[in-house]
Amino acid sequence: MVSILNKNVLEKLKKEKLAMLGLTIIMVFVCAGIFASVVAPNDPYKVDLTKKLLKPCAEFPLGTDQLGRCILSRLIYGTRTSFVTAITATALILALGVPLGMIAGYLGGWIDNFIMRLADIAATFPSTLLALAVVGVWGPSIVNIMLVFVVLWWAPFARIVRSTVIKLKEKEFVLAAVASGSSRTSILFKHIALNTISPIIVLATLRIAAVIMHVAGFSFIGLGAQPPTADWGVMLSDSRQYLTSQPFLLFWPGLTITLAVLAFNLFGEGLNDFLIPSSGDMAVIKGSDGKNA
Amino acid sequence: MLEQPVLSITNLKTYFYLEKQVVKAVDGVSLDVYKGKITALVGGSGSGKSVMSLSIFNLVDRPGKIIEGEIWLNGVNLRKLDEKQLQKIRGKEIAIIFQDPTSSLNPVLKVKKHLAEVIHTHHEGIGKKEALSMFRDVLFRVGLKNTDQILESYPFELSGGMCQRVMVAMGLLAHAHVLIADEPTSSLDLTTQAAILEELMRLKNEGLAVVLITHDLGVVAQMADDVYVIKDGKIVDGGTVYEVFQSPKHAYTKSLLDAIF
Amino acid sequence: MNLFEIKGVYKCYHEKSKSKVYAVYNIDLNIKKGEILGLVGESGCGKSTLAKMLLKLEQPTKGQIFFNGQDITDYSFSQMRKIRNRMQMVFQGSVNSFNPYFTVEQIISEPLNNYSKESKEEKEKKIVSMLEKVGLNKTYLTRYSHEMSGGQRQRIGIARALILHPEFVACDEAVSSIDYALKNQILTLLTDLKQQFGLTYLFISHDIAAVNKICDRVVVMYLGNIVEVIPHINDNVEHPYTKALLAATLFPDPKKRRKNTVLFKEGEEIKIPDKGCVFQNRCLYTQDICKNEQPALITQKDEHYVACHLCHHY
Repeated sequence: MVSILNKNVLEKLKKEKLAMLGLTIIMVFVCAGIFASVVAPNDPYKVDLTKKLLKPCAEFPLGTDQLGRCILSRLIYGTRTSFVTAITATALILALGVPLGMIAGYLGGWIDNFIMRLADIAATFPSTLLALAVVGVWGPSIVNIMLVFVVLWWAPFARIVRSTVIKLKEKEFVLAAVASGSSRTSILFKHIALNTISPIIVLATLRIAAVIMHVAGFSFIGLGAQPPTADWGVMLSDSRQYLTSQPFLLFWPGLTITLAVLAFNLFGEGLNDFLIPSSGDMAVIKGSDGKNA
Repeated sequence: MLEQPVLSITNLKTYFYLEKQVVKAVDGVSLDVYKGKITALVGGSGSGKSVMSLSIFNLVDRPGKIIEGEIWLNGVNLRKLDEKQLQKIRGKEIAIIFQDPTSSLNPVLKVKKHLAEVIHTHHEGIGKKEALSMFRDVLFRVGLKNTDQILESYPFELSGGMCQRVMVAMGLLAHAHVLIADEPTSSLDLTTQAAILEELMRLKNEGLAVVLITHDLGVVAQMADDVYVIKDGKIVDGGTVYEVFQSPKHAYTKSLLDAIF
Repeated sequence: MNLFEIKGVYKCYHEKSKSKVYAVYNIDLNIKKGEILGLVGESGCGKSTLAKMLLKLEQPTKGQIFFNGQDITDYSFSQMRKIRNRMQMVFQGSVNSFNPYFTVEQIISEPLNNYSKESKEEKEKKIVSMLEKVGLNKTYLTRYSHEMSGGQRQRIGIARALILHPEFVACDEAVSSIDYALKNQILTLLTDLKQQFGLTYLFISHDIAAVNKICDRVVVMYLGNIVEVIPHINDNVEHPYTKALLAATLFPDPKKRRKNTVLFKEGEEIKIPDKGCVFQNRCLYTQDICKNEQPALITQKDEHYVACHLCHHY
């Protein structure tokens, strides 16, 4: 019990630094993506078979791939597809999951049951199967894969929002708001929504990381972005045959994916502490009996 | 001849070394606890009373540290023992019960297992039948009549008062000489509190030394033989319960007593 | 004149299942205008549920509630909104009583914004004046609930309840988590404000000393039933439960030590019996009639009612 003080303070510092590290890395990616045309040393699509599989040099800082294209430039342009897809997908997931979760939690009854059964179906549906089906009907593309994730992944968000809302409904300050004569919408937005946001933001950040990874995965097996798109998953896919002979072709996109996912995870975890108003570190020393004056 | 205290604390200092300051949670506390008596330690929140009980058991973690003082239990200086030796003493010679009984017990273990753990740690080599009969005895002693049912229950199936009695039973099972009760009844109803306090009274009359840590003056007035008043880590007043209530020496004690209506 | 009339009110949870439980059982009670009515009982007795039903924060399963002669039992959310400014509640003052994202200013202005059509400056003046009345000042306006002590939170809760000058305030364990010195102050504050604004209180507490100090009458509840109504909890109490409660109350005076603090059967599981008196399992005097018939709340003397077969002097 007494050691909680120690852990809390240390972890806060640690998390702050790591969260900042995560945020910095994300910012680097974002800037690279936005200013790709300025930052990238070469044209990512320019094929030149005479310059294929070069080692890193002045012209090509990370070398070239099997078609003579600049690896670094492809990675930089790949940031655009990955981030745009991930952020759009997460935004759509939130747009679908959060309101449904809130309605289910606040209103309860048959609406709650209905929404939760939908969520159960979405949550248990195998993603690969759905992806294959979608691709089979509408063809492989990064947008189609993104939609698959939106349709399946709103469910956990709805569930979490719903249980947070149910817990909040019983909290005294919500009762106090009712007693104060506030309208239902005012209660829903100012009291319930506000207090649901912080866990959501954290989860959303972590979800972005998951989307990046899964989209790369689907592109790797050919269901998402297609060659010659400069996409990290596609780069991995293209380089499969060179696993033993030219491993660096897989190494750079793999590292980039890992770094992006890690950055979002670090930031998301650290965000937790910032958003929730803390109860103070001195609580442990001051009163273990929970009473204070 | 003056009786020797069963627990004697001399000039105990436990400080917390935080980033920007040093918090002197316990700052030079001395007190004596006698067999067959209830010694109350009274203080508000933040006074250091809970840190004190943890210090006795050497359960204070970084950034807290006991920097000075002696803790004598039955003639043994606890501060000079290593962790292994302390483990033998914790729960056997000196036991502790906390404020929230339901969270002090492991929710996935039946009461039977909790008691078995005590036996295992402190009395090895006792057969199953003998152990069960010891369990029944000790549960009966703390006022739990349907012993077989209680033994097979999980903590969440018992009320707060029952859990608290199980905690006391665990201390008795280990033949503790001293029981430290840290706010044992604050989370309980009035009537349940009365039952638990009467239990402690009964045990005290059988020879147990009880250290009762509380902020509730009603509990102190009803139960205590000796009283120490603690504020900001220091003992500011002490004496028999009658002395402290009738002629308080320190202004803080006076203010505590004045506030009662 | 009765401010509140509660007639045959029940609150039942899990009505349709086997494990249905009555939090409040057949309560008949009147709250007179201008009185401080104490409501005493231990956890699970239904006192909080009753208070919430008065404010329609919980819906009674059966029975009727009258406020100022109006039957508000079936009032909808919007109908209640029209009269909520006349009835308020002070909660226990834990951090849960306030939205963690709200500043004190937002907390106190919420009720004001719902009912007042005054200008922003006038509202702010009112808020600062109320803060001063509860012993705080305008520096508190920008603070958050987790930045304040329990006693300060309690006072903010009182300020929030009184800003609309209601007629009725339910105080639910309003002084329970504060230590002695502050308790006195808050109780004095409550009685002063009552005089100033002409309020009616329902004072819920498990602290008998506090209840005796400020209440005009006291209602004792056990497991959802009213067992006794008496002007003061003293040696005149008759119900075995109230006697047990009184015996268990420890006076902070070593000269007033009691020998018998436990006037009930110990170690028994606390359960609502299927029929008969609700206290039968723990009562020391249980007879056959207690197990079969529920005792009615009958007048013993003026203003003293007891629900116990053995206490009824026929």
